[in-house]
Amino acid sequence: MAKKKRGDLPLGEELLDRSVGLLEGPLNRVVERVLKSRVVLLPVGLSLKVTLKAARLLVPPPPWTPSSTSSSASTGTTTNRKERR
Amino acid sequence: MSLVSRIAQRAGVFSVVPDAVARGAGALTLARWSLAREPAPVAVSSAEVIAVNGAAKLLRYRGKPGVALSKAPILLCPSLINRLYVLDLMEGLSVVDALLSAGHPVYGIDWGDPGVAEHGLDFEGFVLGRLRSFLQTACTDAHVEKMALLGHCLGGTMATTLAAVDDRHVESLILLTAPLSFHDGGMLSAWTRTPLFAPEDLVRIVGHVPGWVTQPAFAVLKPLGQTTKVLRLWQSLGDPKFLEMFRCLETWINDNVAIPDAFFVDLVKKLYQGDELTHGRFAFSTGPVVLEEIKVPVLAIAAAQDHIVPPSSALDPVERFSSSVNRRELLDGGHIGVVVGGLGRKRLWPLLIEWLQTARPTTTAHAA
Repeated sequence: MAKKKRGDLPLGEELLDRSVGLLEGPLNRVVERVLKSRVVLLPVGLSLKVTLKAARLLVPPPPWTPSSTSSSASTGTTTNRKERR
Repeated sequence: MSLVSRIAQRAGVFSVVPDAVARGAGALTLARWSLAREPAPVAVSSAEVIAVNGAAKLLRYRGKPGVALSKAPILLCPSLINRLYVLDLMEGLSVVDALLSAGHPVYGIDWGDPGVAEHGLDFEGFVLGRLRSFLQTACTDAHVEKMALLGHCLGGTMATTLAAVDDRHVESLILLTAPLSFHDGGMLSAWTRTPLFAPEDLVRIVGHVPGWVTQPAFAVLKPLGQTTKVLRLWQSLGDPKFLEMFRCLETWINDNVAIPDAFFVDLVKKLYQGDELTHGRFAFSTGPVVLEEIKVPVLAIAAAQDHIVPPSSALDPVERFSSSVNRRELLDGGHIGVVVGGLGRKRLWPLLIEWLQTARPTTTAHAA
């Protein structure tokens, strides 16, 4: 199916093409603006915080955690320290 | 054309059957690929591993028959959170292949899947440890003192910080859609600065941040992107070339790499939330990372429709470099399209080759 110019397309195809353009452009920007607003970000941040705190009680800690840096760094055993030249 | 046939054409009378047949064939092809689980023909250029450090590997691409690799060598530093082969996506859509065809020895870093060796390895560890050692190894292998360093996306941020603190082996810096300023008004910037979000909390639960966390997060960056992708696929279902590219690109997009734990904390906390690189507060244990300290020639390329790294993030901070040659280019396309799209092929590849052949402050000899 060769790529055609918009004016050469059947009406149905042209409408679809225009709709996709609308979704990709103006409509996407509107949704983006909503998703970037504090009205959305604040509840997302709050629920993320609560979920992660709750998960921390249930999931065993992985081999490296941010709090473990200070203890291992003081003994000079962190991987990154070893790799620096 | 008569009025009747014009109306019939606009109504789709002539094209409805051939289009339906072509789309049906395209749908069958997609179904066959999916059911047969045939691997997509990605990462087409052949390469050998010349150094390994933890999960990361340094690759040397093999030259093409009949092409002497006698020009300026280059090291490709991809984003740590994506696979290298976006720069070598498929036959006819490969930056690596274009560079090899032009006679440039090409090296690439495959960061690999983070494992035990990457626990606690932070941004500095990756830059001053792995990137710097791979650059040295590539220079030794190519028998040169310095070589061009191309950083793609976050790989560009890493390359920038290396050039700022140690440019002994950097001949020139090529920044391809690399974020340098992180308070850019984009979605990624806004979402990483979500109130109350502390990256340490996430890392404490999951360790290296896996693809099942990052993939949906990236999908949100273009909220209607998934819908429009399906519609675009429907429109081009009858085009075998498009289907092949779509398949390779989807393979790359879904080929997730986990983000190393400490690197993720640095990335979100220091770069996105603190915007420390722009404000001059970003520092390694060796001292501050100052953009004004970058003296090597720089070519910064941004994509006009980039929804991940807005052009202002990729280009504005480059003005502060002290480079003798400071070139900034804004190309059409999105974050990925600028590399693998048709316009990328027409504009990006010639631009890179032209840059490699002109921006050489010193002449060095290297192996064929």
